[in-house]
Amino acid sequence: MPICFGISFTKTLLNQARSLVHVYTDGSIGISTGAVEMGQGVNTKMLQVAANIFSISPASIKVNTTNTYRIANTSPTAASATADLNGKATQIACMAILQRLKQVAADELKMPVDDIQIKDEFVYANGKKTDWDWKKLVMAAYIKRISLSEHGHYTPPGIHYDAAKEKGHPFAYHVYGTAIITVTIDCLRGIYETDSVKVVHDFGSSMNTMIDRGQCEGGIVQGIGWMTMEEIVYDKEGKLRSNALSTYKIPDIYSVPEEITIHPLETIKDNLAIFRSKAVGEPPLMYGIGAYFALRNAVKAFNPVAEIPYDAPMTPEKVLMSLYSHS
Amino acid sequence: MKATSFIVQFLYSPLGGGGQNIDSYTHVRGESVYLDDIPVVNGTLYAAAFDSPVAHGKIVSLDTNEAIMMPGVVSILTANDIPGENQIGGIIPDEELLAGTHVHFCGMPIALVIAETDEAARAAVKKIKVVIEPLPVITDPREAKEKGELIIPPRTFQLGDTTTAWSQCEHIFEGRADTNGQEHLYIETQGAYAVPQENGAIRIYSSTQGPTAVQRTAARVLGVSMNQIEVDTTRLGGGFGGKEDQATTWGVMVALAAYHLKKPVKYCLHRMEDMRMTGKRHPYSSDFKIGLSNDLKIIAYEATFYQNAGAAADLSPAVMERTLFHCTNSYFVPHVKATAYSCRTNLPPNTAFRGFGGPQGMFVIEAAIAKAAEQLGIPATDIQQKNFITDR
Repeated sequence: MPICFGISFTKTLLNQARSLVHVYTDGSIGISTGAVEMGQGVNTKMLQVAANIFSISPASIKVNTTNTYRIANTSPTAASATADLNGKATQIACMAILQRLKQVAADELKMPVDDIQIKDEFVYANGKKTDWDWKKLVMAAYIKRISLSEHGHYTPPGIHYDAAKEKGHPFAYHVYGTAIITVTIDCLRGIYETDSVKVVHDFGSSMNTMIDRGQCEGGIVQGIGWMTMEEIVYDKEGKLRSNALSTYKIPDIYSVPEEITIHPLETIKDNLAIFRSKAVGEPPLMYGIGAYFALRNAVKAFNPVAEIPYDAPMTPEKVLMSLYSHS
Repeated sequence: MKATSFIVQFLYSPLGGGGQNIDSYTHVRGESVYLDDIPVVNGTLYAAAFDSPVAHGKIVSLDTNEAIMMPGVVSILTANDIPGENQIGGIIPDEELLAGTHVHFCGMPIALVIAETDEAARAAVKKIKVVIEPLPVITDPREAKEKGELIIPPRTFQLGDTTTAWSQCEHIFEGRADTNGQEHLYIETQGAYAVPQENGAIRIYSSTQGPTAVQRTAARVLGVSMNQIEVDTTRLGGGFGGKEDQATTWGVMVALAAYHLKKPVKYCLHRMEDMRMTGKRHPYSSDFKIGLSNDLKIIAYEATFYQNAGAAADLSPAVMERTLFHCTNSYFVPHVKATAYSCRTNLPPNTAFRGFGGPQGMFVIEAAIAKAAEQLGIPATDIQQKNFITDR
């Protein structure tokens, strides 16, 4: 099951984000963005952005709640693009503060600013470590009445779409990959198991392999659930019959694939992702579509004349009926 | 391009792999703060919605007399109590917060009970009586399309010219492909908590993917300016798209109650309320036609998508658009024509769900390829591999 998924809100105007970064006088940092943490680890990524740019310990950084008084006019956390948009806004804000701090260091050390570097919480001059640590530098900036706060704003360049002509360049980039899914059917009872899901997935250059792997695994299982066991039933009167966890079945620990192997594909091309770490929220879900076609192939292997409508989810009931159907 | 194992990548990543999720410790220890973990302010009241038992009809009468007399009940709000616009539609203004004269789906909120406890609010909901004159119910998107019930005009994406391309095809296959919806089933159900501030301002704690949508819509419904509404979100116990647009309903409801009662008001949905009242992934019913050359190149592809939007637009037009963008998945097809209809039915408005219409579009071309492969007696991979998009 190959996938190719476009990253950006298709409504171009939503592709904007803001981040508010404060450095406090003790050297600690607070970040607010428009990103909503919903288990996907976006706050961890925001923290990584700041830690990487300032070159300070992640322990000194706190990511604050998402609040409309601090960050206005946010786009929803959606379209897989949140880490990119808010990460880049955070990058812009951090870079601006970093530049001011470097200037302070340059003035104090009487050096050109281009020779100043901040690395592992210390100021380096011409590559040589000085006795100016992060906290001393921040305090010096405060005393000199230099702003230790910044509001960063980011919009990805080059995207546009003309709905009148239905033509344009709606996506910042695409995420690619493919999956091989193996299933085994019990030909007496119609029940089945997913034996393995083997994936090659394009992460660009993942900035957090643990989180990105988690997103992949979760997406795959959620996609398989949609294609196999999750069956929403409304009756003719429009009443939801699958209205509880007893009547609506999602994959549990017993129905997830026995094995999920994910091989990261490192793509070298430049992209608009934050630190070239491609969006990972939605694309892996679509590998799950392969489970439907794997089940179909398995039924056909047992009963070559099976008449199977292309109708997902492929529940055990449908599998059982197909196993013994005639054309 | 090179494939490496995760271990290798972990070691060589410029950021050292990134480390573990910063929430890991508090998650494992049960200390992470979700909406229902926010300590409530003294005097907090609890809300519960009374929703429509029928999918389509005219409200003849609403009787709240018995419910208001129930112990602990403070107030019952209806559409008449909305000071601003009774409107929560994001893309198209076609969805009421509380049903005014008509109901359009089973589970559509009609009234909001506010009581001293959660239990009292829900007990009172059961005592509300409504008489609804039933109107015809549509649940099938193709039927909705036949009856002209469309959310927006249809859209067509085209490349090349399919009409002339069919004559170049050695093999042509047609069929139908359907995908059902999907319940988001975030572990944390929908919910919100509104706390009045000075001078008429309101702070809303909301389990939402879109704090600004909650803010904008609350301001519209209450008839106040956006700077009066503060929305704060610590984290969600899952969203998957289900809280992109549809968290707004509950955020605005508690804000409405707080506005009237000048007290903090909280509403966390029970699982069955959540499943009944909120929309899901869009079911699609689609027709396809695929044409291949002798050497298995896909020459032409046509698809018609019937999206089951439910009773209001919600995000359906945008979801439909992404279906069209992804209708050829990973393949280059020189001649494509894809048309999509967003069909209005009497189901809860369907909404964003991880993939946002893309998966539905991709399923259809995979079905078309599978059908071609089955008919030709070859593995589908033979067709897939011959038609991938390649770097130019």
